Parts: sequence; structure tokens; C-alpha cells
Amino acid sequence: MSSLVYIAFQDNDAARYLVESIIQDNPHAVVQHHPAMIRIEAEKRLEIRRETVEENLGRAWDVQEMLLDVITIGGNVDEDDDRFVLEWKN
Amino acid sequence: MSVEIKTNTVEPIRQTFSNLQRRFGDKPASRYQEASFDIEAVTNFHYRPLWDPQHELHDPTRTAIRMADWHKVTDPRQFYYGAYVQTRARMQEATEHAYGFCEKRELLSRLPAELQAKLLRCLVPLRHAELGANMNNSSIAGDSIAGTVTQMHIYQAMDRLGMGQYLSRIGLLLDGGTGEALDQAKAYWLDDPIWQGLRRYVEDSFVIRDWFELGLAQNLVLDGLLQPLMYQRFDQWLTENGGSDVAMLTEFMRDWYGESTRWVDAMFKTVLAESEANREQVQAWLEVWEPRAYEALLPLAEEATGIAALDEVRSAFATRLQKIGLKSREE
Amino acid sequence: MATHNKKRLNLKDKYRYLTRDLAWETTYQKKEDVFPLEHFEGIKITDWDKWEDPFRLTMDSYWKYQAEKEKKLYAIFDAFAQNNGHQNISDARYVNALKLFLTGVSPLEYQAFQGFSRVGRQFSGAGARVACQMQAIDELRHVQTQLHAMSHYNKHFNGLHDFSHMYDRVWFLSVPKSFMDDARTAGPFEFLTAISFSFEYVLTNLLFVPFMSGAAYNGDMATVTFGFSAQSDEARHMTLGLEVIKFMLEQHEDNVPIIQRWIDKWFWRGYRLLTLVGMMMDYMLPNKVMSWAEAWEVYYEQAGGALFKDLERYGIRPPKYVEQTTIGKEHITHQVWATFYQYSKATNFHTWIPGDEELNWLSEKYPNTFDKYYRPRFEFWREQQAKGERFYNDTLPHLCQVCQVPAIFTEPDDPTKLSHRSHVHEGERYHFCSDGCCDIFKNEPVKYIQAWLPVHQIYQGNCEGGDLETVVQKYFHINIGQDNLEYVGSPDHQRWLAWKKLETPSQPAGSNKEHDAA
Repeated sequence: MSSLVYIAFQDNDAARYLVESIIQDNPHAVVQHHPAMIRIEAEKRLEIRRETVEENLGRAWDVQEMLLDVITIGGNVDEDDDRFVLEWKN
Repeated sequence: MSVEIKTNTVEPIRQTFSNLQRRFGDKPASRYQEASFDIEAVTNFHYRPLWDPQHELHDPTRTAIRMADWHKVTDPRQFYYGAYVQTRARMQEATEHAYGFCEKRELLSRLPAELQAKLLRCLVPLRHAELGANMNNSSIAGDSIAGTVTQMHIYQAMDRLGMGQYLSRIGLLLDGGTGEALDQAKAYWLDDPIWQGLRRYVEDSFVIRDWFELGLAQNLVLDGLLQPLMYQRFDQWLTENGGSDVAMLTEFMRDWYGESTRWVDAMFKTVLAESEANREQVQAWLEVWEPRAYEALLPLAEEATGIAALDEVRSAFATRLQKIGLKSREE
Repeated sequence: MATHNKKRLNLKDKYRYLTRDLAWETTYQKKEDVFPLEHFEGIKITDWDKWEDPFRLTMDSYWKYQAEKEKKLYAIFDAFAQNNGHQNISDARYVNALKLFLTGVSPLEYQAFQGFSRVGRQFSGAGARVACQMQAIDELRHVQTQLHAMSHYNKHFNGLHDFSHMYDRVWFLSVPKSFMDDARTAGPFEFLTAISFSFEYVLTNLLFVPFMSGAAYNGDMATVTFGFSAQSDEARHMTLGLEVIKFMLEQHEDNVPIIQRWIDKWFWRGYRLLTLVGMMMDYMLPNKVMSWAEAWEVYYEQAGGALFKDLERYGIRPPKYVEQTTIGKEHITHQVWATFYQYSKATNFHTWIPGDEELNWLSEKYPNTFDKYYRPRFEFWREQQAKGERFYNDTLPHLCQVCQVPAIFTEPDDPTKLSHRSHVHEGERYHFCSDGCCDIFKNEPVKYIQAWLPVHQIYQGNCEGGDLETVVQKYFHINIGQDNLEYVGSPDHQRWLAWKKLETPSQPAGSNKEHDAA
């Protein structure tokens, strides 16, 4: 059985940059569009990297800014200054 | 010129919720009213708490104070969550600016060494007392009755955590972000004689079981003496002794204290006006806690500001108590 | 000052200094007097320092981000009200989902606020306390924003006007109420297992995502906005839920069996509670998002599968009776809607027979069960209704002693047989809807014999009257003829038709094209 981690964002402008960055850094991720919501799932691990988001946004970005747009997550969270990781360890 | 707006106008069938109609009549309610009145369960609880089988889950007898309706206690600031966080966000923006400025210009590390030492010994350890206030208010938010009362205490709890964090950042400004100053300040809190009175008072407050008594010991009495002592009198001392830059780092606390006394005073006035029994009970508690708070603060005051400052604070507090309808034992 | 030989703190360590390092070991009062509730459940914590902060949000950031969210949210509420947004929803039947939400969910948010405030004081680990307090104030946010979103609907629709009064009294609202009372009357560790882990982490997606996507599909801008805004807090709460479980499991092996029992209990409690949400998804949304069965597959079977695989290393297995939910997902929503349809005299929302298009959708989504067991029943009731004999059941249903849902579910291995269990405790026989609920009772009979079962209370005359009408009007505050009964022809329906300049149907009948064509 597969172990999917996932994250969903409100479908808004900020989320578009996040989704773009996530796809860039996680080629195995699958993006699904739902009403008012964008959901991304990936086998085992998903990483959001500050550097990539900043490049796409063209400005400094604090990982915690993400909290404004997240709807839900699945997986163990590991967060520091530079990245936000969702992961299943098994 | 008039613009005709083509809308399908519809009259509302009611102006507000039934509980608010019963209280205030069928008229549009404020967001504060909608968010605060009658939002808690009051009857038909299913199970007795395993941790307190003598009481119902929501039980007005968790305090000796009696109110026919605790919703009589309202917040003069009319804070519901949205109004609360937006007010604090404005305050934190200004505060952030001050801390950033102070860090960039290295204002604290340029202070004379003895002044830095005094800040570390007399101000930074207060962060622990703030955590005590945070715990006490979270406890009251969980135990008390009526949304108008409970919500003020969770705001207060979070405010105190925030102030403890600001004080910690003063420590981090002093030690260049290593945490050493905070370790030192904690050692003062634990062992330095000037803090032991206050630490004992705070620890004693942790075992008060009556939530209204706890609110009195914390939000009325201790804060009523400690906040003016440290953020007004000690601040004044700093200004007079070359430490005026520190004031911008404690502005949040001064503004906050001015604001919070409004709801604290309003709550006590309402509770005292309810019955003579309430007045007697509150007065009795006050006579236990006020002298203890004064005693607890003596060694700190002696070191930080001089005893005279504490005595002046105490007499200003007596005036405040009088306005609320209570008597300070001093008189 | 001092020496600068130490390194600057990284984010993680800095956050520890700004939260748990504010705490100290008390010496003037004994630890067990300061934290008296930490041991009675039998959970062993050897080292609170091992607590991993689930998120690192200091109060200044919290104020900043939350204020930004609130500003956006209230701008939309204002715009919604000013533009009479309630007229732009898909159909007035949709509002009945909101009635269920406001009376059944919003009061739970308030209970959660007080519950987390309490546990936010009770743990001796300051990191855990602070995380709980942030959730406490978030939960307060949720109940308040929900009320503010519903305020406008309440001005134009019935059934929303006395949510809090109803929550304490109405028969089916004892399902959510007893759930939350159960969690809050438990000890602090069980409360977190119940709410943070089992509910927030494992099941909350099944509550919020369907409701909010449903709102988005049905033109309800206000609800979408508060829902998704609330969910952004939920991501923090879910992280706390997972951290709590892992922490307790890592602290001591003796904790494992206790936690397993709690997981079994709270999974089953949550599953029964969510039946109401499933019914909403399958029957109350005019524009449907996904079926309950599909939602269960995505949000429980798939996500929960990965979770429990991850927890295996601690000796935790998937919740007991989980296999029954895989069978039940094809049945329970139909069984519950059929129940509410009959007992609509005593509900604060309307019920109806789905139109043909909706019946076809249900047939398609539930190919194994709907046509075989449920469609004929709904079609029969529709025929009765067309003849002017809308079916109402004038009795009250028999409630399960634990979950308090009427005992209307069928046996896992036989969908034609009602599932019924009973157990004798101290000479008294108690009744249950399932093995899951019966087990919960047997583990804590002293707790569950106290349950305030609305139907028993009504029959015992404790609800202001012996007859149903008095109870409904006087005790429940359900306005007869306005809040309750059939949707077709109701005041809500008539106002909707007037706004939309549609004609009133000549007789109450399920909205069905077949009938019109005949």
C-alpha cells in the first residue's frame, strides 16, 4: 500500500506561487484542482523550499507565511528556516 | 444625482439570533454581541468530569462568587477574536519596529555594563512571572462561565505569553542572541533573593482552586502592583540613569496594562454590585493577597527602584481599589 | 555584556527559549500540587524535554498572521451581506446543511476552546501547554467566525435562530454534544487523543473539506471563506495531534495499550458523529461534490492507511472495527437521511426526497447498495407524498446509549437486519447500535450510564411536556411550521421561489421531473 503525504491550499494567488515551487522541487508530486482548493499529494515525501518560493515570488518569504493559505496536511511535519517537509517514515 | 441600484431588495425575517432577541430585543446585534453571548452549553451535560466529579462540566459553583448571569460581566473593549488580534497586530508592528531599531543600532549593548547588568537582574527574569500569568489565565478561561468572561481570559493568557517573549528578546539583545543572558536571568529567578518573594507568590497562585480568587490574585492584585512598579517606576529610574532607550522595548507592556485594567476593573465592579455576599468574599480575598503581593515585591523594589516607589504604587493601587469599591488594607 | 563565546541560536533553540524555557521547576509548591491531573490516567511521561514543538509560532507572528486572515475574512462577510449573497446560492435546500453545521458543529468549537484552555494549564511540559493554548484561542476564533458568517443567513432563513439553546436539548444534537462532553470530562491526555489526534488529525478533513467544498459548489461564499480560513489553523492543530500521539508513545511502553484503547474508542465515536456529515454530503447539497463513500476512501482509507502504517513501529494497530466502516460507507448516509426524513417534525432543518437526478447520482455512487436497499424506499415515500400523505413518524427513535444516534444501522454482514447490542450493568439493560459502542460502554460503564438521552428524558416528562408538539416548540425552541417539516412548501422554499421569481408548486411533492412530465 502506498504512503501518500499531501497538502492543500486555498485556490488563490499566493497558492499559485507555492504550487509552482512545489512542482519544481518535487517532480513526483501530483496536483489536483478541487472547488476553491488545490491539493498536492506525493509518495512518501514533499518539500517546500524557501529558496525556490523566493525565486518565484521575487521577494523574501518566511516559511510561516504559508500558514495563511494552507487548508490541510497529511504526514509528519518538519519545519525550519529554509524548508517545510511532509514525510512518512515507513 | 441619484444612482438607481437595481437589486432584489428583501426584508430580513429577523434581525438577529433568538438568544440576543431575548436579551436586547429584535434589532441588529453587534459582532461582539453575536460572538460573546450564550455561546456555551449550560444544561443537560452528559457526564461528570473524571477530574472533578463534584461539579458539572460547566459549573457556576467552581467559584464562591455568585452571579445570576455571568454575561453581566462584559468587555469594555468589546473584543471578540477578530477585534483582539487586529488590535494586537497593530501593537506588535510598532513593537517589532522598536526591537529591530534597537538591534540594528545595538542600543542595549552600548549601555554601560552596570546598567546592562541591572536590566538582566531586575527586568528580564520577569519573563517567568509572565508565564505564571499565562498559566493562570488559561486556567480561568477553562474553568469560568459565560463567553463574555472566558474569552477575556484567553486573550489575557496569550498576551502574557507574548510579553514573556518580548522580555526574553530583551535578554537576547543583551547577549547577542546566544541565550546566555536568559540562562542567567533564570538563575536569578530561581535563586536570587530579590525574586524569591515574587516566585513564591506566583507558585502559590498555581494552587488556588477558585478561579475568581485566582483572577483576583493575578490580574487585579499582583499586576496592579507589579506592572506599574516595573514598567512605570523602574522605567523612570532607567530614564534618569542613562537607560532611556529601554523604554521603547517596554512600550507594549505599558499600553497593554492601561488597556487591561479597563476590563479587570469593569469585571470587579459588576461582580461587587451583584450582592453584598460577593463584596464580602472579594474583600476577604483581597485582604489575603494584597499584603502578600506587597511583601513579595519588597526585595525586588529595594533593588530596582527603592521601596518608596513601591509604596507610591501601593497607594495609587489603593485609590484604584476604592474606585472599584474595595478597601485596601493599607487604609 | 558578558562573554560572547556561545553561538547565536538557531530557530528551533530560539523558540525553546521563547516558550518552554519560560517555565521552571517549582520549589515553593510541590509539582504534583501544581499539576495535579497529570497522572490519574496512567500515562507515564518521563521527560517533557523530548516534546517536539509541532509548530514554532511566537505570539507576535501569531497576532500578525491571524489579523491578516481576519481582515480578509470580515471583508468578505461584509461584501456577502451587502450584496445579498444568500440569493446567489444554488438552491435554498442548501441552507439546511448550514443549519446542521451551526447547531451541531459551532457549539463544539466553543467546547474545544474551553477544553484546550484547561489542558493548556494542566501539563507540566510548557511546550505542550503553549501549543494547546494556541489551539484554544483558535477554537474560539472558529465559533465566532462561524456565528458571524451565519448571522446573515439567520436573517433570511429559519432554523438557525437558537443554535445554542438547541444544542443543549434537541434529540439528535446530543450526538455531537455527548461526543465533546465525553472528551472534555476525560483526563488531559485522553482529551488530546480524542480531539487533537483522533478528531483533528484523523477525521477533521471529513468534516471541513466536504462542508467547504460543498459551500464552494453551491455558491456560498461566506461559508467557503470562514471554512478555509479556519482550516489554515487546522493545519497547526493536526500537527499538534500527531506530535501528541508520537510523544506519548515514545515516552513509555506502558502508554501503548492505554492509547490503543483511546484510539479505538475515539475513532468509533468520531465515525458515528460523522454520519451526520455524510448525510449532509449525499443528501443536503443540491450541487454535490463527492459522495460520502468517496470522501471516506480519500480522507480515511488512504490518508489513515498511511498514518497507521507509520504508527506501527510503536505497536499501534489501526482502530478496532475499522473493517465495519468499509462496509458501512455504502449504507450509513442513506439510513440516516431516511431517519431524519421521518422525524422531521422534531428537527430544526427541513428534509425532502431527492429529485430524480439526485437519486440517479446516488445509484451511480453506490452501485452495490442504493438501488437494492434504499431507492425503493425513497420512491415509495415520494409516491405517498404526491398523494398528500407525506410520511412522518410520530414516535421518537431509540437512541444508542453511547453515540446517541438512533439505533438504525444494519448488521455489517446483513444490510437487511438492524444492528442491536445490549449489555446488563448492575441489573439494568443498556442498548447500543454496534459492537463499537457496546465495547466503549463496557470499558467505562460508570461514565455512560450517566448519559442524558433526550428521548428517555422526553418520555420521562423532563422536557416541558409529554406530547411531541409541546416538546418541539417549547423545549427545543423549534418553531413548528417554520423551522421543521418537509422542505417543499416550507416558508424557506416559498421565499426562495419569490426571490427567484419562480412559481410555487401547486402541491407539495418531491421536486421530480417524472412527476411534472406525467
